[in-house]
Amino acid sequence: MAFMDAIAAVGGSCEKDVILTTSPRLSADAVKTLIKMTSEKFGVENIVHRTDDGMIGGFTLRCGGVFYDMSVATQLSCLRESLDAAFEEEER
Amino acid sequence: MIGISEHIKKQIESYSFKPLVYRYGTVTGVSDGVVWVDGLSGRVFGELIEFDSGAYGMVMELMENRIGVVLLDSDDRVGIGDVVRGSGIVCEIPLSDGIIGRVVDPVGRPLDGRPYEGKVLMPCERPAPDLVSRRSVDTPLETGIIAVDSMVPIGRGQRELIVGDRQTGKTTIAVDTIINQKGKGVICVYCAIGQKASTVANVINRLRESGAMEHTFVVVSSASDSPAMQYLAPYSACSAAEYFMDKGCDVLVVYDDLSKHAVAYRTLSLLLHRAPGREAYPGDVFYLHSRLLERAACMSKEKGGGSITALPIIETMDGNISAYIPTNVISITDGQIYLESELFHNGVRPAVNTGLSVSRVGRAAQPGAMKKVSGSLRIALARYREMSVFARFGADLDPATKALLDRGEKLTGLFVQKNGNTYSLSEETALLTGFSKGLYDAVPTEYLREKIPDMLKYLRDNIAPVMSEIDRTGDFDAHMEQTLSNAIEEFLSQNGGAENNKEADKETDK
Repeated sequence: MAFMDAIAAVGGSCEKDVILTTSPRLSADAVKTLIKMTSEKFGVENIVHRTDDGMIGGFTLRCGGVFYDMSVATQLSCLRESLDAAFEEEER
Repeated sequence: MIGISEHIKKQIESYSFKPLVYRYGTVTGVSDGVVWVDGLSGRVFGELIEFDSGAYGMVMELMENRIGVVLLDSDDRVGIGDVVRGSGIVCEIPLSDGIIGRVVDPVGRPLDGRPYEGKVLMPCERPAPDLVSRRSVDTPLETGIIAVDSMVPIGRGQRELIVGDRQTGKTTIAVDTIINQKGKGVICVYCAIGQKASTVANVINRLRESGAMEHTFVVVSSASDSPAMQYLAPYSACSAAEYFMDKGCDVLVVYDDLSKHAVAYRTLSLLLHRAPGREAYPGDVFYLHSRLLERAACMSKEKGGGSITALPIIETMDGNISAYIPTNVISITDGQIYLESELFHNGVRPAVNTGLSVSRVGRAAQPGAMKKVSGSLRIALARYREMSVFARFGADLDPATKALLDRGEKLTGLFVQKNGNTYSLSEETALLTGFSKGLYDAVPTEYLREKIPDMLKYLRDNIAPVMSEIDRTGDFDAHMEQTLSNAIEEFLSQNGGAENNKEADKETDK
C-alpha cells in the first residue's frame, strides 16, 4: 500500500514514455499493480519497467524530464547526510 | 544505539521519507570530453552536473534546448541516453587550515595519499574585491633573488608576471620565492597547470626538502588531466588563497603556467563550437586571465588587511613577448620579469633582462635599506649594455669606459645566484653597499663571484648584530652602513682581493 500511496503522491504530468525502475526483489504482482497505477496516474500506456539491485527497495519514476526517486537507497543516503550533519553539530 | 545522544535520536525519529524530485536531462552527444545534454533546463553556468555513471561535469554552454557539459575527469562511462541531473551548486573547492602542506586537485581531492577534508566550501569562481576594499601596495615581498629585489621589487598584493622561453628559469624564480617566505608569515600556493607530473613531483620534492611545505600547499592539474580540470585549476587555487586572505593573511600564489591554461581553455572552446578568434583562441581569452588576476589584491584594514600576491608565469616562443597571450597578461599585471635565453646560456642566472623587466609598484614596495643601495643600478646596467657593444669589436677604450665596463661586469656577476640559494635582505644590502661604494673596483670579477659566499659568511659571523638589525627593521643608518663597508673592506684585504687584481694585471701586461 505504501507504494500505491507514493505513486498517488507524485505530482506533475507525463507526455512521453514513463520508465519505472524497481528492485528485482519486488514480486511480479506488485510490479503489475505499480505499472497499472502509474499508467492511470499519468494517462500513459507505454510504461517501460526496469530493475536495479542497487535501489534495495522502493521505486523510481522517470517521465517528462522529471525524476521521482522513492528508492530506499536514496532515502538511506539522505538519512545518512542528515545524521552526519547532526553529528557535526554535536561535536561543535 | 548506545552512545547516541538524544539530539541524534530525535533526528532519526523526526526524519520523514519524502520522494526526491528533480529535473533530468538526457545525453545526446559525447565527444572528446564534451557532453551535450537535452532537456535539462534551469541550469547555471559553471554548475556541477551528475551523470548516472557517477561521473561529474561542469556546465559551460547554455543554449535554448540543450547544454554543453565538460567532463571533469576523463570518463568513458558516459554514453548516449544516459540520464544526468543538475546538482544546484557551482564548482567548489573544500577548504580548511589543514590544506597547508597538502597536494590537492582543483576540486579538493588529495593527491598525496592522505585523507583530506575541507570544512568550508568556496566557489572556484568568485568576484574580485571592489575598489573600496583595497589599499595601496606598500609591504615588500622579498624573493631572496638580488636581481629582482633590487631592480624589480615586488610588493604584497601585486601581480608580477614571470615571462620567458622554455628552460630559462621561470619556475625556479617562483619556487625560490616560495622557499624564501619561510618565517615571513606568507602562505604560499603553487598551482601547476598542464605540467608534466614528473616536473610537478620535482617541484614538490624541492619544496619538501627545503621545508617550504610548512607554509605552502599545491594545487595540481597535470598534463594528463582533462582540459576542464586544467581550466579550473588556477581559479580553485585563487579561491584557496582567498580563504586565507579573508582571515587577514598574506598569500603568494604562483600560476605555472597560464600559457597552458589558455591552451586548455582554447581546447574547451573549440570543442564547444565557439567561434575561434586570433590564434584560434576564443574572444574572451583576455577575460579568462583578467578575472583571475584581478582577484589578487591588497585589502584594506577594514577588510582584514590580508593580501594575495600573484606570480603568473607565461612561456614565450623564441623570445616573442609581443605574441597574443603574453601581451594580454603583460597588460593585466603590475609588471613583468623577463627572462632571456641568451643571458641564460651565457651563464647569467637568473637570466633577468633588466631592460625589459619592470615593476609598476616599484620602490613603494622596497625596504628602506634596499632603496638606499639600489638607486643607480638600472642606469649602471643600461650604460654597461650600451658600452659592451663597443668592447665586442675590440676597439681601444679609454680608462673611463673600461672602468664602466668593469663595474657593469661586476654588477652582473653579483646578480648571479645559484638555484635555491636565496639571500636575506641584509645580505643583499651588504653586496650592493660594496658595489655602490666602489669597494669591488680593485677586485677581479671572477674572484669576486667565487668569494661572495665566503664574504657573506664573514659578515654574518663578524657583524651579526648589524645584519640582524637590517633584517629586523628593513633599514640601516650611516653608522651601520660604515660598519658594513669596513667589514667588506677587511674581508677583501684579508683574502687578497686587491693582490689578485695586481697579479691579473701583470699577466695581462705580459
